[in-house]
Amino acid sequence: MRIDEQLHSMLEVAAAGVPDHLSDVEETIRRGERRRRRRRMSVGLWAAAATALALFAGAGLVNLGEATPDGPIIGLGRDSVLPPAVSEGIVAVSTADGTMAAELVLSSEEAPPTLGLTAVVINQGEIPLNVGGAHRTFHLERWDGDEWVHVHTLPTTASYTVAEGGRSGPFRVGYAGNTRLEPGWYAIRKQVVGRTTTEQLNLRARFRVVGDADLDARFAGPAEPVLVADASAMGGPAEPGLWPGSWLVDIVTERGDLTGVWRRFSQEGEPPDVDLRKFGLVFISFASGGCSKAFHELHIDGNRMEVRLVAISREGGYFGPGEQVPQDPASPQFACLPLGGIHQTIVIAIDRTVIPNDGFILEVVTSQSGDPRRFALSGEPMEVPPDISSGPYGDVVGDGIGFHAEPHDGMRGDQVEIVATNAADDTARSQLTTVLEHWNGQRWRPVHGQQHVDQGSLHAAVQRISQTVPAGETAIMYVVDTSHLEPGWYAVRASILSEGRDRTLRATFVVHP
Amino acid sequence: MTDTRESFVAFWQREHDRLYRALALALGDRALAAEAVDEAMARAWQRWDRVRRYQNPAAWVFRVGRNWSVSVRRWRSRRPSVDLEDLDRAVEDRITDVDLYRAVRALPESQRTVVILRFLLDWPVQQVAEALELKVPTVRTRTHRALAALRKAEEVMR
Repeated sequence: MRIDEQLHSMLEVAAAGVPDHLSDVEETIRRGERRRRRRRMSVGLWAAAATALALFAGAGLVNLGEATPDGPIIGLGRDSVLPPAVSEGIVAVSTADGTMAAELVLSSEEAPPTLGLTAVVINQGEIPLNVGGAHRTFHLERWDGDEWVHVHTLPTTASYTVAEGGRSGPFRVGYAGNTRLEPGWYAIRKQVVGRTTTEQLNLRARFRVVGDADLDARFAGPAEPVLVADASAMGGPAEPGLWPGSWLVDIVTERGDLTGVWRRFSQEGEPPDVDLRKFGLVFISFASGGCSKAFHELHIDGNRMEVRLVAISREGGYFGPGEQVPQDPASPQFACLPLGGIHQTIVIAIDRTVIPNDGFILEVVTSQSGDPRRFALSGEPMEVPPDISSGPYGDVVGDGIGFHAEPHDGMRGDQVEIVATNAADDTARSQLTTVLEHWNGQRWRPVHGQQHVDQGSLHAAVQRISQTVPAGETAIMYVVDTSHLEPGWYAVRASILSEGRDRTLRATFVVHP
Repeated sequence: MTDTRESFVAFWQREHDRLYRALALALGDRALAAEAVDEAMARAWQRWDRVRRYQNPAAWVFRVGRNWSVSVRRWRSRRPSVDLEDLDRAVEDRITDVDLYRAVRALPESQRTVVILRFLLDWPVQQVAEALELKVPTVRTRTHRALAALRKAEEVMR
């Protein structure tokens, strides 16, 4: 008998000898339903713009789904950062006639050296809205550190009713009299009222003035330029080095990290009171150059998290992923001003149950480019914290690839070798992503902050010895100098390409005092 | 919905037991295999509208179950499985070709899994490649090496 036939016969008998596993398809379906509901809570709603809540419009967003109308994030804008009854981004209330929801989108309309602001009200709810008539004024406000202070009333001559799903305007907002805006945060506020209810919504979109900006008041109303400022003085980088083309991302899963990250992304006021046992916050900041973006949707697949952002049209609509944003200022949809120094931060709250446990790749896709920006981030806290007494912990190995530290524990000053054993059939090759991580008691954190995959930078303590490991061989890929590392658990996380697959591996070691 | 549910139930009834036994032999751990196949099947139902349209939904379930097992093993600190001996005892009680079974058990897991999918489930190379996220030539190479090792082991035992 041929070996394959022999194998087939033997394996069939062997399989029959495996003790039965009594299971029930109905239980499987119930289990799947529970998973599906959980996922819907966190991911399935992201695409539904009307149910997303924004913490900041134009400066940042925190999104939640409709399944948690009384969740922790909805109140935070009102309660901690903003006065009661005023919100930013999409504001929604439930009425007897249905959900009333709207968003005020502010965009730039003229090329430098002047900057005009155009406001559009988008009806994201289920009932028509009056945005003109008695409610036709816009208000210019300034944030004084504690609350929004009224600066000017900006009347318009327009009167609109905006149907469900429709949008107004655009309004060009303005005020009477010339003025100079001191550096700081400003907002345009607009009040709208439901046509069939007495409920009111206060919509707000903010912008930031970094340098002094001379404002030239002309007229308030459609088709007239009104609020004009020196474009070069508008906005400002989130932190030194964040210029057009540069990005900053991070993830927060612990309360202790939140304030620091909140500040690092130039957010003012207190950070949101988010229940970080339930949500992780992903921060994405970029120099928008006047091309405002909005959160569109999020997908998680294995260790890849894809966030899609869309450009906001001047008319208030969105350009979907892959759609070309008009670059011609004459285009009525033109929204993308080539301004320097303006940044935008988007903060997304994500159900922790769907955040990858391990390090993961965050890909940010925008309307303007099909090529995602890629970043490596640490995931959630591991289920079991490492116990120094239990010896090596948490090495992540791939199929056919061994990856470990030698020695697993040593004294400060030791040289730790990160060794890869390749039992696969192809040469294993390390990719650009190699991160030295430290265990902070709950999760792995990059020792020197985030790592940009595209840059492929190595921590100063890590030296690359070999980039490849031939099939069937063992090689030292990295050496870590622990002389300047604080005592504790560390890991080298690397991306290894083998047999056409990119695997994320982690070798852990402990440094004793 | 009814059609979706019926097609999943039919799939579950056809594949659940086969995949569980294949995973048990590949992993050498029947308890882990039982958890893995249930988890993978629940995930399949979660997105059945998409998975059912795949050419080989069973390959998808096997892959998810196997990846889940690898992950679980990692979190359980790779403690030696107490189930392995039980499984071997249960299997060896039934088969006549114990030497060949032990030779299969001695193969590296990457080769053993290929052998089980190819010769127990009779999956074509393409389907095995899909289930294990490998290239077709890699599956062929592993099959070739596994068979060579089994022939060699058999010669030694004669």
